[in-house]
Parts: sequence; C-alpha cells; structure tokens
Amino acid sequence: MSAARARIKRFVQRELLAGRAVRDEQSLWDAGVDSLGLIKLVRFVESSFAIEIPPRDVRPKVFESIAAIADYVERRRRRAA
Amino acid sequence: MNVARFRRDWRALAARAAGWGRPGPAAARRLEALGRQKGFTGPVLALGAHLWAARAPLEAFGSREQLSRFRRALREGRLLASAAVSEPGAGSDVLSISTLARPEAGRWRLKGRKAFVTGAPAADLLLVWARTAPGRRADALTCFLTPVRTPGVRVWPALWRVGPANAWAGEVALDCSLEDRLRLGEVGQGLAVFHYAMDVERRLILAPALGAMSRRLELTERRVRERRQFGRPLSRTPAVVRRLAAMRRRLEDARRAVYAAAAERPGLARALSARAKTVVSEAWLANALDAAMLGGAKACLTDEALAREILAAASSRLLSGSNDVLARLQ
Repeated sequence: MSAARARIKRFVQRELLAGRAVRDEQSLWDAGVDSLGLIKLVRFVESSFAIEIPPRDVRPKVFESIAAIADYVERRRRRAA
Repeated sequence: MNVARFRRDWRALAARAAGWGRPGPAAARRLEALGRQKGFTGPVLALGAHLWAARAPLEAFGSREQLSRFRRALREGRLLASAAVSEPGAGSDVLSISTLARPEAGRWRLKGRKAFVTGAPAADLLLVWARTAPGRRADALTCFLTPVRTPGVRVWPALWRVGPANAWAGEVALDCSLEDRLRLGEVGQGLAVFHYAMDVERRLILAPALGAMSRRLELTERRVRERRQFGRPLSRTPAVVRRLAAMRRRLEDARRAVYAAAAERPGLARALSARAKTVVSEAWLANALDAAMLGGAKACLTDEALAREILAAASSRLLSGSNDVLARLQ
C-alpha cells in the first residue's frame, strides 16, 4: 500500500467513519461519507499533500474510494514534478 | 416596489457588475462601495445571488457549450440567475432535498418544489439542485441549469418581511423536462457545485453590508456629536463613547473577515468564508441595534431606513446557511 493511500485511509476511518473499517476500493458514499465528510476530505487532501484541488476536479469518481483518491494525488504529483 | 421594478433594478446592478465575476478583494471593495451608496436592499441581495450562487458555479463547472450559451448574457445582466436549493422541508441540510431528477429518453425529468429562492419571480435562469440517487450519499445530487420559461416551471412570489427592503424571493414548482446538456457538472457532482457556490457566496454576499454599516456609523457619530444632554454633547458621555467604540471595532472585525476570505482561493465551503458571513451578520445586527439606541426615540419613531436595516441584519444571520449551522465549518 502506498504511503498516500495509508494516510488517506487512516484519516477516513478515524475522522469520517468514527473508527469503522473501510476497504481501499469500497465506495465511500456507500460507507456513509456525507456532505460535511466531503468537505473535510477535500480539505485533508489539499493540506496533507500540498496540492490545490480545482472545484471541477471534485468529481464523484475521483473521491469515491481511498484507492481513487490516492491515484488522483499521484497523478497531480506527477504533473507537478 | 413591485416585481417589475425589482427586476429592473436587479438587471441594472447585474450589468454594472459585469466585470466583478472574480470573487476576490476587488469585488469586495466594489460591493462595499455599492452598499454604502445604496444600502443593502433587495436588488443588492439578489445581485449577490446572481454573481456568486449562480454565475460563479456556472463559470467554474460549465461545459464549453454552456459557457458560450450563458456566460455573456449573465455578465451583461441580460440573464438574471439565482440558486434554487432549499425546499419547504430542507434548508441548510442540502442532502435532505427531495426534488427528483430521473433520466427519461436522453433527457431529465425534474419534479419537486423549491422555496426561499432569492429573486425567483424576476429570475430568468435557476440553478436547480435535484436528487439523482437516494439517501445521504455525497454523490446523491446533480445541478441543472433551468430556464424559468421551461414548460412545467412555475414561480410564486414572496416578499421578505424580516429582511432587506424590497427583497423578492419565491417558491418554484418543477415538473419539467430538461435536455442533458443543461446538466451543470457531472451526474452526482451536485454537492461539489453546491459547496463551491456557497463558498463564494458566503465570502461576498454581505460585503455590501460593510458599506451600509460604515454609513450608519458615520450618521450615528454625527448624531451624538450634535445631540446635547445635561449641558454637553452626548458624545462625551462615557457609556456612549464605549458603545461607539464597540461599533467601530465590530465594523473593523467584519471588514477584516471579508477581505481575509476574499483573498483566499475559492474552494468547497471553506472555513474563512463561513466565518466572514457569520462575523459580518452578527456585527451588522449588533451595530444596527446600537444605532437605534444612540438614535434615541426620534430615530425609532421616524427612521424607516434604520428599521429596515435592523430587519435586513437580522435576516443576514440566516442567509447562505444559518450562523448556527455554519459553526460546523469553522
């Protein structure tokens, strides 16, 4: 598991799902991430990985799972490199 | 003021604000000057809805085709737009809306009812948030650009009583069919569009109130200098001095909060934006009540503008998410 993925997972489970476990590929929407959860998730990814997320990039598919978010972070990092 | 006059004033303001689309400090300065000149009236409130809750998300999420169809007309005020989010049973809790959008032969069938829509009886275009999936999932909503003239869209006007002067809003009943190309953003992206619209709106919707507060403070200072009690100007009474100092401090805090939020890159329901809306509305109401106190019985008997300002300030605590709910975002 990449470091980014592990970090995102830790945040999601602890801060958004009250300690409940979630699989990397599982839909966060099915797992119960709601309106405030989406805001917290975007804030966390921006501040933890020092990237600016254009609002247009906050798409259901991009933030749907821990794996998808980690892929997005990797893509953004590669583009910035 | 009837709806036709409201529409004319709103359109004139929207045209004047053609170049103010970027939600930064320059827009805040222009809006503050506007509020100083005109006060915080219904058309000024509607200008905020048009610029920040409708035009800004359209520019951020719109397809190339949507931008070429709507952007110029919105900038020039030929199209007036507003956001239709709340419903009779759903306010700040956007994931509890029940308006449905279901696919139907390559189009979307929208069915539901919206309430408290700023400017509704004069608007040409509504951004309508509807449910495309059940439950409280973050991907449950989708936003649609809905021309008010679409068959099956009906609007009932309502006038704010506790609110700015001549502030028209309304209920909207939807039972209409929309082309897929009127969908703003992706299916399921409505929550992101909403949080972006609210972020931009919260940082600037009350910028005109800074101008109104500043003007009111000057009028109050002049009044207490000119009014004599017990052989000296009221402005030399210690309690009055303290009250005026508090008014100045609140205005400065409010101004700092707006410009700090406006300097930040817009995002999704940012903390500084929620704080700006909260700080200005609380400061505005406190200052308006203090102005009534220092204006004395004469102001309370004769000053219609002050009475209206108190009502506008009271309602500003509810706009763009009530302050109690916004505390969760800060």
